[in-house]
Amino acid sequence: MIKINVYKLIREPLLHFLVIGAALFFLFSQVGGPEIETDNRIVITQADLDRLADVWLRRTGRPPSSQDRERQLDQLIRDQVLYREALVMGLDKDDVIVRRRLSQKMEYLFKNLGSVTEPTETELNAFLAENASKFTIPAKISFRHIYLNPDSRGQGIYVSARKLLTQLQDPAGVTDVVSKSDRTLLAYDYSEKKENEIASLFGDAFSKQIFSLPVGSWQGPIDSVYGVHLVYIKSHNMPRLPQLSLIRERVSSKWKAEKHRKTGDVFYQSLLQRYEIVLDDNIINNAMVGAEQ
Amino acid sequence: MKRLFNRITQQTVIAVALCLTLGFSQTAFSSGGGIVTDDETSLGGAARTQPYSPYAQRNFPNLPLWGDTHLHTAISFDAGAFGARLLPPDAYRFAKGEEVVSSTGQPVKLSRPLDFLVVADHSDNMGFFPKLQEGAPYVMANEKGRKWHEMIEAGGQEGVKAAAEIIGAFSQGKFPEDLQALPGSSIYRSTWDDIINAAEGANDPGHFTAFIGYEWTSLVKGNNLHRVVMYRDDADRARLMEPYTATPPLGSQNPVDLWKWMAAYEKKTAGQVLAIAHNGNLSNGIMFPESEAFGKKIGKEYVETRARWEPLYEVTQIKGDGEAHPFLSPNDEFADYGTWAIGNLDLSVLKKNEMLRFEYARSALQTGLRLEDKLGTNPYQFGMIGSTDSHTALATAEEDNFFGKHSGGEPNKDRYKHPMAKIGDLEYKGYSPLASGWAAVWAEENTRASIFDAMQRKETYATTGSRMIVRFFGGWEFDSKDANTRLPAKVGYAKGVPMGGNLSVAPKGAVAPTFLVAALKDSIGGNLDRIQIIKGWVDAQGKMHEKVYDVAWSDNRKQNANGKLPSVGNTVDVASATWTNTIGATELITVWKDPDFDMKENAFYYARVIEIPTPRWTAYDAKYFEVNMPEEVPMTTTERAYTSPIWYKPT
Repeated sequence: MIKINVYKLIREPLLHFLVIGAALFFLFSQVGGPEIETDNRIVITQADLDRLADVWLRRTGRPPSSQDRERQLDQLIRDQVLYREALVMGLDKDDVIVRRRLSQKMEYLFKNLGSVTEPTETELNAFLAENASKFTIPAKISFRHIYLNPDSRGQGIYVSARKLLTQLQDPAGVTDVVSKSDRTLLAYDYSEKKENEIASLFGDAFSKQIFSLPVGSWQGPIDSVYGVHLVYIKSHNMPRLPQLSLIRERVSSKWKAEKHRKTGDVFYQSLLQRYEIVLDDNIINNAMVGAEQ
Repeated sequence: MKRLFNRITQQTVIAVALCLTLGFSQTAFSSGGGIVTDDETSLGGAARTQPYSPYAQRNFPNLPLWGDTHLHTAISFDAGAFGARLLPPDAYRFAKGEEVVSSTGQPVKLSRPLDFLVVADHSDNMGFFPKLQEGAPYVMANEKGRKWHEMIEAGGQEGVKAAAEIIGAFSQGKFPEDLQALPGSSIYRSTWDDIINAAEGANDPGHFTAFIGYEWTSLVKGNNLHRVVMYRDDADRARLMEPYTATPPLGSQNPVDLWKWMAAYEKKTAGQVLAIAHNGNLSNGIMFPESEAFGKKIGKEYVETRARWEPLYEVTQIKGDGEAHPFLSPNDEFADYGTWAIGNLDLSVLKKNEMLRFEYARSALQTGLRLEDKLGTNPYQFGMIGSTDSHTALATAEEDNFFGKHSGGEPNKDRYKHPMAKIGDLEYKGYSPLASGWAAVWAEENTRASIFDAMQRKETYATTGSRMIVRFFGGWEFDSKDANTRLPAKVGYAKGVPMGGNLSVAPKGAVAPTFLVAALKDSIGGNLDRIQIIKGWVDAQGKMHEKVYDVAWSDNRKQNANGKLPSVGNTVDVASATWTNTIGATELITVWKDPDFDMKENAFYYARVIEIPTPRWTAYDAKYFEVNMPEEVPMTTTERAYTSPIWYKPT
């Protein structure tokens, strides 16, 4: 069946498809499925029967008996005879399942087109630039914080917070920062966190705010869902696009995936052009009615 | 297929949605796996001796990693039959926080990404459904296969019947032999490859962990013995063997045979796997046997092998909560949570009270103590996790973002009233599924190895969908001051063992074990009502006991004369599906000493943290779809967490 499709491929004017098609044709002619239509011989090999016996073993847990083997052979012959007769009678035409199966095989051929070339440095760099957003590392911050508990501190909490902030901003200030904090199950020190990660721990508002703080000094007070915090941003890495050399493999695999998809599209379009697609009037009328609504 | 799906949601289905899962779990350094070094805190009396080397300081995880170990995609035949179209790569993208379009065409996104995921599709018939749908030749060669394919092609009512027949045939062991997707076949091999490749593609050490896994779906005449099998390993090892199935002769329904397969896998590949059982509530008394299983007496070999391969139990998920049952725990006012106790998985046999003891986690932990007394090993010394068992490829466990058990149960205005499954007069009500749960793991970093190892040491807890942070340590020397230190975890690790551990041998003069327990509310969840410690033990006569202690609670409530704590109240406005955090606490912490301790009796202790009432998924449905639901539909929930126990063994 594939051979017929391959013939169509060879008729295709696009040169690289022709080459691939010829290679596939050669391959299939060497491997050789059962010949059909051209003669009335049905050739069954020992390998065919061994395969059936293997399937039997897996399903039943025992090898087929000699009677079972005979039945398998009969069934195989029967399948082949009926299959060929069905082709002669044209039963494969307009059959949804046959159609789908064959089109799947074509899709499979698409997938394997154009898979040979490795991208060049220039191609990868261009691809990286075009798809920068997919490869950009988001902004990350590292920070420490002091937590003040509203339940235990009550109304004076912001006054305490500002007082503490003044102490901390003194250059000769406190070294044991954690001892200034109220108890919490949250960690005191966070490294390289993205905005959404901070948000999932402290809430959205807190996360947004601390991403706008200056680096290298104590700031606050800032509210979270748990209480009030003083925050020291240790570092703030802006979003950045890594050098190609650091992410070559990822870029290359995405480039290839994209290439495959495009090649498949081009191939399909070249096939499509050989057909006139006729939609009957009802379809067009219905579509217009749908659009108006 | 869209039509098929719609019909499925509209019709009464005469079958049971099986739960099968493959899982990928993913963790991220950046999203919580960081390590705290205790270099900057003054801990008062907590740290007793400092090592000579100032750099040799103890590291411990500062945040739990969140994940789902039990998620199905369209590769699972039942998920596909119910309309799932998303595949493992979609499941990972969704778990990482990307917006995806669900099988029913609805855009969906998690409130917060997960750290890890195990895609756990059923090993039986793995990849069958896509073949049925496309009308693969081997399917069409079978009379039933052709019929099912044509029914699904026809769609509508016919499609529904096909789904029901397929699932029914499997759960009663009547699935046509010729249609089985069996290990060793090319279909099976390529499906397993696809699953592995999806995990490898999504795995991003330090940020998100995608575990390779599958679900072994043993159903003994409808009695659920399912296990998720998850791998510590990468593709190079996992590819060397195909998954174990439950269908003879290649597979087996007996967990003992699964454990043999796991041993064979480890021997052949030098890899590591573990198994997680789930839904004892649908096993009709055979999940945690005490005297015999599959006609064989429970002996030394059974208990040792089970303890070796099954360090965790999935205690809560969409098909019911399995921590406790009100019949077994009549004095526990919170025991009746998400209880599913009608019968076995396909409702072919009804539930009897005498089955319950062998189905629920709490009684299994007790049974384990008894077996340990008798045989020297506790087969049920398991840690706790929750997971979804969703069949939609979407790991959703939040009440306001719940995409249901299967694709027929994705949000639609009638899902609360269409039975999830119906057999004769019996049915699983449409509103009965729980938006539950997550697995929380105290791992040092977000990698396959680190999370797997934390699971092996049971340093895990389960939640019903909330992301509260829970610490639980046991030792002999905790005192009330330890609850006031700024880094409770540091004291916890220094003076005790974390959740999942065994208490050390009691030092001279110690009278009773002490526990440091703490919980912090989910940043976007409800406040906390209380922390409880649940103790189970076995006395000298072999009798099983349990007691629930309230140990920390909000709002300065006072216990009454009988020790009962008044209710925290309820702020839920059902009509608007909202609540306020004006009651409850953001954080609770305490040190508790067992007041009823007997040195001679082995025992376990675990913590249960309960949130204030919040709207249930049904309330969000009612509001969004503007429907009035009948009285019988529960509209509020109290999310909770269950920690892995800490065990005491007399010396």
